[in-house]
Amino acid sequence: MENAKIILTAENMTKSFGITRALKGVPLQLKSGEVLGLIGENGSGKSTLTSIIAGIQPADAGEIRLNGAPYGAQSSVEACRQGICMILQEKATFDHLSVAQNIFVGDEKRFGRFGILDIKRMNREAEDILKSIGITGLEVKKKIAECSFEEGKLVELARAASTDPQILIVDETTTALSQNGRNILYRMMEKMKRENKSIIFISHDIDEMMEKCDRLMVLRDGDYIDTIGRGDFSAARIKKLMVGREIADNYYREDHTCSYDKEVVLKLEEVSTEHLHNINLELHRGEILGFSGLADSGMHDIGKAAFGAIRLSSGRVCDKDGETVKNPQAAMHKKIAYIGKNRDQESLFINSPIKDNISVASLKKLSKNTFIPPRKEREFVLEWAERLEVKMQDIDQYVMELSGGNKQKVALAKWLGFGADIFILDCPTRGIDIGVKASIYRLMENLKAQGKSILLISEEMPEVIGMSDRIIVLKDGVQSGEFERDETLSEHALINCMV
Amino acid sequence: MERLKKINLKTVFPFLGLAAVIILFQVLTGGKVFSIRNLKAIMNDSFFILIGTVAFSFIMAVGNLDLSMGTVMAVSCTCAAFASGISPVLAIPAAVLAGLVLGCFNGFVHVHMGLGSLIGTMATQSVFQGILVLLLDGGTLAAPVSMLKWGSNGLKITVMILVSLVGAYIFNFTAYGKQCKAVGACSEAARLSGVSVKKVKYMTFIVMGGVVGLLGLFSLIRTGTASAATGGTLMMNVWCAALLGGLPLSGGSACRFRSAVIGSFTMAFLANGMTLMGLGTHDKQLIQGIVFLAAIAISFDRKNLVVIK
Ligand SMILES: Nc1ncnc2c1ncn2[C@@H]1O[C@H](COP(=O)(O)OP(=O)(O)OP(=O)(O)O)[C@@H](O)[C@H]1O
Ligand SMILES: [Mg+2]
Repeated sequence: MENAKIILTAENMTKSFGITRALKGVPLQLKSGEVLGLIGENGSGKSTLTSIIAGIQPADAGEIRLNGAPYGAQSSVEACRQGICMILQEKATFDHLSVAQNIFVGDEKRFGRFGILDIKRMNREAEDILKSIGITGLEVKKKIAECSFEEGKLVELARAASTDPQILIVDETTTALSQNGRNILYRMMEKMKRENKSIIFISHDIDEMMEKCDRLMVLRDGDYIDTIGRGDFSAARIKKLMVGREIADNYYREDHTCSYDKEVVLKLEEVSTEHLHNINLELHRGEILGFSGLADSGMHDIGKAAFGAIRLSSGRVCDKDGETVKNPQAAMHKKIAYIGKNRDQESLFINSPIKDNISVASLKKLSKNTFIPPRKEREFVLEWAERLEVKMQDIDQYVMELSGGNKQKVALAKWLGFGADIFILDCPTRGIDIGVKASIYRLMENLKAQGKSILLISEEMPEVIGMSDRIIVLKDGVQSGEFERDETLSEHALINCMV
Repeated sequence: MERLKKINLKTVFPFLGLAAVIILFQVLTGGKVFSIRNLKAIMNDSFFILIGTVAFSFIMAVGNLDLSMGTVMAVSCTCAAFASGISPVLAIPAAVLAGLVLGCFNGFVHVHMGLGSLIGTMATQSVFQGILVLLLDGGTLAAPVSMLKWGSNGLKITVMILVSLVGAYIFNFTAYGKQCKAVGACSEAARLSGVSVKKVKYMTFIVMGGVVGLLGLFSLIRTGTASAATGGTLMMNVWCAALLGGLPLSGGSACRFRSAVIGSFTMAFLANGMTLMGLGTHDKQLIQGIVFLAAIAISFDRKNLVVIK
């Protein structure tokens, strides 16, 4: 491994966006057959660096060499042709195209026959690709719009696999995937490694990084900090390099007792949707109720149903007074907040300024006799953006321009500013760095202490185990297990109920 | 300093456009643009354009369009003419009510029948046209002469200023205005933020109807008749004004209220200047068509197309 061939080198990579200096002369070396981890806080420049390598945007300065020759792909298609393929942090599939069309997007010519697309052959080959990376049960004719967020990501994986890249860049994808989705990705990475191909892997999960990567490169505020080899990995050291100072280790809740009031604040009565069957559950005052399950378990529907955001085929959701939660508006009236998983499409207006995004849920609160004073709105937005440490130029910056984790912070700021009594959080820490993650966990503890309740739906099992009073495991749309907070509770116990 | 960089070309373009139109015709007509008599004519032109565009800007903020406004104006005008036959004062509620009802119908077609606003209002436009033909029965209707006296310049200016101020207030400083822009930015995210998307969309059409109904009334006061030709130029003028002012077709947070005002005056000066130059109706139509095309080409946000995945 030590003297493996270097296939990609980048030197002095520099990139600015207006006054934001996203990269300040960063070097990178990638050996063949290795997984290089890229780690750093939100907005440290990971996505910027890798998207330059993948031809998605140009650098201001710097030189990249691929296999010793100068390399400068002008587009992702060109990069792909040269063997570099990237799976983006954001959604990158086309809603109105089918799964198969998405897999071969940009490469449809292959299926042309007398100017007509040979859809049958395309579908067949798409099926082969899905099968080859272990995705089962995904209908290739289905439109992406009908797929779940995770399925969309898996389609992107399949798209990458279909180009058989020499270098695969995986940007913050695992937090969008459930256990089985992750395993598919890991298997794909291992296979590439065996074939002496290379991977650049980005994640905020330090344990995952230490397990999967051969070397870790740390970025901080656009600066290259250090690279450490597998032998020197230690969580404390990595965290210190990332943040620049020692940070405490108390991540999740310290107490080990399941505690909540008797009062039921939200109730699902025999709720069924497309993915759920007869779900009954009660959320109590001051309780953090966790949900865990695989991709097809329907756990994301629980959040939507509880917020009145999807049609129930039967059953009902009601609040503490027994009133039905019919739609999101009614839910907000009962002081329920919901942060969805599909950030760019459902939680945020990415083409709008940060200000509009944070204030939209609180307009009623901000207005006095219909009038919303601009000063008051700005102060409100600024307060919450700062409390969540959103890294931005100012509150008029477009959300589109923020790094992935900072977008998530904006979504959180919107709902924390709204000040709900019940928070439904679907993957709340997706893409958020360890420092801010820890403060979100403290915040959740505070909310609990104030008697607020949280429905925590998450793909991160340590998070669910570490934070919840009770955990419900779902399998195929029905409850398959329930656990109380306990020191000895392990991921194994949960997984056993999932599969 | 930071604000400075955001004043980009797109923001100043509408102002430049207005200035260019004024200067151009001032030069071409040898200074006739700013004569008192002509300013009155411009006021009369801009009255309809401005008020129509103010209401239309809410529809655009939501990301919708309206093809039926001219016909709605004609129907309202006709209803007002009928009512004025009974008693002139009745013309006022008749016009506004007719507009509101038709606006409601537009809302129904878009929100409940789920048709896109473009197709939907294209369909309702032809329905309204049919109603108009039935009501007019091939002729024209005249209003009592006493009504013509209502149309003082003072009243028009007051109404214009009032509508603009109320429009600006709602657009910029109320929850409803912000919700319109939120729906235009991403309706699903708006829905999940507690915005009643259907209600907001409905409302934009109802308000549009009511406002255009009011314009129908003023048209009756101005010309004294209601005919099939009433409101024929409204839609083109309003669309042009909105686009020249810089309202994006995609809606959302990029919509500014000032666009409606600036665009309306640009359009009014343009129409007036062409009349001053002695151009015929057909020439005017051709030039306006070209201006419309240019405005759409410039304001069409191609970047947004990438986002609409
Ligand atoms: N198109 C853009 N316009 C303006 N600023 C941008 C743009 N893209 C990125 N930035 C800024 O560059 C910096 C680096 O962003 P980048 O997306 O590379 O961070 P990251 O390390 O991937 O963070 P995260 O962990 O949150 O994904 C951020 O401050 C971000 O706001
Ligand atoms: Mg990123």
